[in-house]
Amino acid sequence: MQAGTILHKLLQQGNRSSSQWWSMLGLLTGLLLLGVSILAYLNFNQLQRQQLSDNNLADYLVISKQVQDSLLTQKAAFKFTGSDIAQIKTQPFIEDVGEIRSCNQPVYLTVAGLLETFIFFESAPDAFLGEMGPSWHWTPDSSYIPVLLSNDLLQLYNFGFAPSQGLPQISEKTLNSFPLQLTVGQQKYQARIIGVSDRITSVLVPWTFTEHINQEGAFSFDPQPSRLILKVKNTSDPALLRFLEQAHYNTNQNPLQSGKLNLLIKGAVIGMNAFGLLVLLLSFLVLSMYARLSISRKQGEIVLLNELGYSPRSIRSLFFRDYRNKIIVCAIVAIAMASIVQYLLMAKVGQWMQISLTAMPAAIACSAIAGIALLMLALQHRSIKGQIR
Amino acid sequence: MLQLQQLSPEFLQYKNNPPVSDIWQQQVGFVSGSYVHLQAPSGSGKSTLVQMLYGMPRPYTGTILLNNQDLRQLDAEALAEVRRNRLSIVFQDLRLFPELTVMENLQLKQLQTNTVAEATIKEWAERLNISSLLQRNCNTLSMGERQRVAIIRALCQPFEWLLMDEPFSHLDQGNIQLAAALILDRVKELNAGFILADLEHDNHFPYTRQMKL
Repeated sequence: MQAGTILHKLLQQGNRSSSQWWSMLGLLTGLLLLGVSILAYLNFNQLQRQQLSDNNLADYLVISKQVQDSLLTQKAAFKFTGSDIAQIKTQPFIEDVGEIRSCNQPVYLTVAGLLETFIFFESAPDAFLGEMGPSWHWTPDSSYIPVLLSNDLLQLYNFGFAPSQGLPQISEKTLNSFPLQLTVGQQKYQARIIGVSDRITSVLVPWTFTEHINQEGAFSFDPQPSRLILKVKNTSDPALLRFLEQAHYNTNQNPLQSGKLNLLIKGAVIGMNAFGLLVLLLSFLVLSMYARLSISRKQGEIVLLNELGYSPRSIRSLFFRDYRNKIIVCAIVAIAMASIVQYLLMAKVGQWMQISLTAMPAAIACSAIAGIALLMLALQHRSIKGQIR
Repeated sequence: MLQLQQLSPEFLQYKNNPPVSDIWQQQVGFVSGSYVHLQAPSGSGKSTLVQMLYGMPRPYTGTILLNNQDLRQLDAEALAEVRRNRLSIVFQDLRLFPELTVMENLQLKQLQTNTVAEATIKEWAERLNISSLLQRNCNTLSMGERQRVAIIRALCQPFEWLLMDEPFSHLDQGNIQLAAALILDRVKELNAGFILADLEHDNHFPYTRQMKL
């Protein structure tokens, strides 16, 4: 028989094991909650970043002034003045401001054999449109005008206009095969839809074309824009929401709604994290108190062991070993479960949402679990050392 | 070498006209391998002296040197090492772990240094007529049986000095002779010495030095 076995029997005799198991269960739950909440937070961030890079939607906002009855006759009231724009630019949550410039001429669209209608078009600076490619370019010598159609307009056509007119529905892929003809004043231009966009609800053409039309056109050109596109740091920034509300600016709601949702989800995840830490703290306190109680109850045995030649260090290690094993087992189980959760997220959720999640959150969550476990070991060691000198 | 320099336990300060002692407030040296008998009437500080020699915390003035090393200057780890390899003890109150078996009590000492085989322990238990008790919990034993267990436990380690505080107080003559013979064999085997403190003079050992406390 080993001395350790006899000592274990001596020092553990009479201790109630049920409280140890409960504290161990609490410890495991706390570590798991902590790990899973870190996974949730990091994966959510990953997902958000990926969505941003995929559609570049969430950090752009299109704003306009609110239309009020008393302002109906005052056209200028809807326009953004230079001082409005300057004020917006100074806000800390705004990265950049772009004007959405509209064409001041009536435009007549003809899609051969399919459709003839008056439409409008607008332009925004290229920097706000994302990667557009070489086809997004117009000079007076160009053979056609590239057009970027809002996804919303395509949806309205497909599910609202086309069925009521007996017209065929159009997919994104077939859009650019339609030969369009734009008539502006006496001029006729060939045009081609080169893509759809979620960012601005409009019919967009290159900035140079709108400039050309506005300067050549019959009506006087008003340089004040009625809509602006903002590049913001964070659509869920409460200061941004407050600013838009106070200035009575309207905006496209989707990015804001998703920003608010993000804020809610992050809040819930942080709450879960805090709850995990609380459970962890309470379990550790129970385990710590249990260790203190065990040592107090075995004070007589500890003194006699010391008198028989067992050093304080060796007696401490006997007590510590027990708690060390419990904490390590809990940490290993929590790390394994966090890794499994991440694997399932990568394999199942990633596949379902067609996104590629990395293993990085698991590495961080496992490191956090290991770090917390090491901290608990250090605290427990210190506590036992304080009791057995 | 064990040297006692002007030892004076705290309780001696409260005694009016304490009797003359060969130990207290004297310069005493015990050479290695000595067999020392200390005759000490009740209340003279016999157990206090044995515990002081074993490095247990007792208030006293003076110095105890074990091979020129002041016992009070040793830290807890060094003192534990001394108690594992150089000093062994039979406490007057025996100090066994009552909830452990006899064998477990002995193994707790034996497994510290592994210098005594388990078979030897069984042989010693046989010599002291307690081999049938090895698997019994100590709290089921009589005082005499416990005293024999405490004696064997003290022999389960290497030592230079064996300290004994009334080691035979619960034994009959027959068992005293058996225990004394076992102790003497082990002390000779290790070329060690012992200090036995008791109420009366006895002839259990061939003492090389007899003193009064």
